[in-house]
Formats: sequence, structure tokens, C-alpha cells
Amino acid sequence: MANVESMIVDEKPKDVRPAIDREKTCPLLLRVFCSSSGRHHSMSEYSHGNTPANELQIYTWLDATLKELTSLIRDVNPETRKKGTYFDFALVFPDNRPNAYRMREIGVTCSGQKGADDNKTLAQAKFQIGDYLDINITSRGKDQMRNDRRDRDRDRDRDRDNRDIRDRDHRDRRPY
Amino acid sequence: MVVEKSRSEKEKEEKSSKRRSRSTSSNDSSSSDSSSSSSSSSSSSSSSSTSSSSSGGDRRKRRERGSRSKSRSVRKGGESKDRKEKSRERGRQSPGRRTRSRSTSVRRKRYERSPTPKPTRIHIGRLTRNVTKDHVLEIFSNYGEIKSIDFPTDRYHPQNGRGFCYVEYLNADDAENAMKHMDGGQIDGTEVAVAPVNNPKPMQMMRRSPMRRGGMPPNRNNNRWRGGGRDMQNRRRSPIRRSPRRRVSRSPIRRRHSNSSSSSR
Repeated sequence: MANVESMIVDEKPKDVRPAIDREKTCPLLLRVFCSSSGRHHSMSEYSHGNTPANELQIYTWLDATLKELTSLIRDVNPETRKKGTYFDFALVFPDNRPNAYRMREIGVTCSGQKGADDNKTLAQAKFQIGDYLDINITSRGKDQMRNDRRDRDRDRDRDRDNRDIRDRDHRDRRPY
Repeated sequence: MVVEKSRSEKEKEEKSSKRRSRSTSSNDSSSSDSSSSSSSSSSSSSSSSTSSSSSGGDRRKRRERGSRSKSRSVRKGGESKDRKEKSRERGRQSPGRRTRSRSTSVRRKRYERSPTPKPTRIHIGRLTRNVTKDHVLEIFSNYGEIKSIDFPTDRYHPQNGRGFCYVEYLNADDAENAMKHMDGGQIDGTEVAVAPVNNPKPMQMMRRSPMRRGGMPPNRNNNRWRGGGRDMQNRRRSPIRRSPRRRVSRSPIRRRHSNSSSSSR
């Protein structure tokens, strides 16, 4: 019997695409919808061809990173420039059911901090031209967290130290 | 990215436009001759084929010269000889696309294959979801006046397009111009593909097919029947019209020998 060993095949880098020449390539239109309410827009806002209210139109390329997009949004919205503001990126794309859209999170950045998703490009996030970008902007400094939650749901004060993940699910859990 | 047309096609175009202008001017003087020229069309074409064609076996070359014979027979001999030489050159490059003489619409007895019409309709593919019919109208009206745009939309999301569309121009030159400029060009960050589409033939060609009796598909379905399918339809469906032509078209071989001396010119 031959001695068969497992071998590691040299992994090709995921993004094999050649670098996009921004001078020669036509930019694509990226429609961005920001939400400062602490969570992403609901899918009902996108159904039937509607779009949420405040739209940002960005002309960019497929090799744009999340950090680059974050800086563009900060340029436009001065209130998001504070350090510690989290930007949750999600793609919104049409479903194969009539008039329905789906949302898929692709990363988080934070102003003033280096994150793992900073250099993630739209291409790496499997973005298709025509998808919308839904950004949930939250400022998650400790004090602000407390203030926000007090506004939203008074009964959650005892969860003061919890991270935001649980806040998002607060509809699913009964406080008592 | 501009797609360069082949030089031969450009030459052909220039020459075909010249030829067309000449034929219109000469037709005025020759209206009386039209009946006689039709009868002599076969003879003049055969004579032309003897004089200018070296290869007897190239039926396609001869066929095209014959189809232009109607307009040519009307002109003076000197001119026609010039054109024969030019046509010989052209014939070697790409025989299928030369003849455009419109005066032979009815009388083209011997040649079964009508010339491929130049397309006025183009297919544009690889469009993104952001591109709408208005965008296409704006971009492609640069190349000529648009007759119509067919922009099918996604079934489940009617505000999005399906990623392709058809644009029809008023004349074929504009369509070619648009193709030349926009095929491989970029719209909304992606390269689009622009290609010609053969114009759908009118409905009557489908009449005899038993499968389609009673429910004629709309015009759009005819788009799918590209050029090859269309010719095949003709051969299958209307043999009564077609076969006599074929039979006649074989006769030049015989007639050439018989009529070589009786050139009307």
C-alpha cells in the first residue's frame, strides 16, 4: 500500500481579481441608507421598490474598503465623527420572492479604532452592483449606551453592562 | 474600449453607399428600361460573370453580381465594368454582405438568398440593476435617433431591469455606430456587451407551421429566431416560392454558354 499523506495545497488568495484602476474604470453607484436609531432599517422599508428616507449616493469602485466608506459618511454627517461611533454595514439585495429584499451584515467599523473589517472591500463582501448599503450608526461609549437605553426601554437598566447584541434582540425577550 | 471594425467592412460600406447613390440617379433615366432589363438581367449577369469571373464554381460571387444586375444593366457599360472589378475584390473578402440594391426586390428570381439586412436593433447585456430605461435612452441616443427601446423588467422586482435590453435605431448606421462605441464600454462600473440582433421577420412566415396555428407568438419571440433560423424557415415553409428560384439559379451554368454572345450591352 502506498504511503499516502495529506498535503497542504498552496491556497490561492481569495481576491484574485486584478487591482481596479480607478482612473480608467467607471465608478458604480452605491446607494447608502443610514440609520441612527440603533438598528438597521426593517425589510418592509425596502419592499415593493421603496427605499428608506435618507439616502446617500456614493460613486465608488468595487475595491472600496469599509473604512473608506466610513470616512465618506463621516464627511457628510458631522455628528458621526465622534470617536467610538460604530458603523454596522449590511447589504440589502433583492430576494427571489416577489418584492422582498434580504439583508446581510458584512462588517463593523469604528471611528477612531482599528477594526478587523476595516480593509474589507465590497468585492470581498460579495457585493453586487445594485445592492443597497444599510448602515446602522451607533455611538457606543459606555455613558451613551446607558442614555440610549434609558430612552428606549427603561426596564433594561439592570442590563447596564451588556453589549449591544442583546439590545438588538430586546423585542424577542421579555424583561420579566 | 472601442471595437474596431474590420477594414474590409469599412471599405464595403463606403463602396455600398456610393453604389446606392449611383443606382438612384440612374433609375430615373431608366424607368422605361426596367421591364426589358429584367429579362436581360440574367443575360447581362451571365455575361458579366463570364467576363469578370475567373472561377466558374463560385456560385456565391455570381449570385451577388446577378442580384445587382438590375441596377447595373441600366447603366453604361464602362461604369459597370469598373464596378465588376470592385465587386470581385469585395467578393473575396466577405461575400455575404455586399448587395444592397433595393430595385431588385421583386425580380430577384435566380438567387434564393436575399442579402442579410443590416441590423437596426441591438442587444445590450450585462447591465446592472441601477440602470434604467431612461439611462439607456440617454446613453444610446448619442449615436442616433432611437426608434424604440425594449427594456424587460424583473418579474419579482418590477422596478429593476433584467440586465439586458434591446434598442432599435431608425437606421442601421446608427446601430453600427452604437455597437462600435459601446460594446465593451462601461456603464455603472461594469462592462456592457452590445451586439446586433436580426430584425424579426413579419409573422406570415410562420403561417404554415401546424404547431403555431391559432396562436401566433408576439413579435418578441421572433427575436429568438436568429438569422440562421430565419433562412431555414424560408426553405422549409414556402417551398412553392423557393424551389423554382433554386432551379433557376442553377441554370446560369447552362445559360452562360448559350448567351455569352448575346450580351445586350
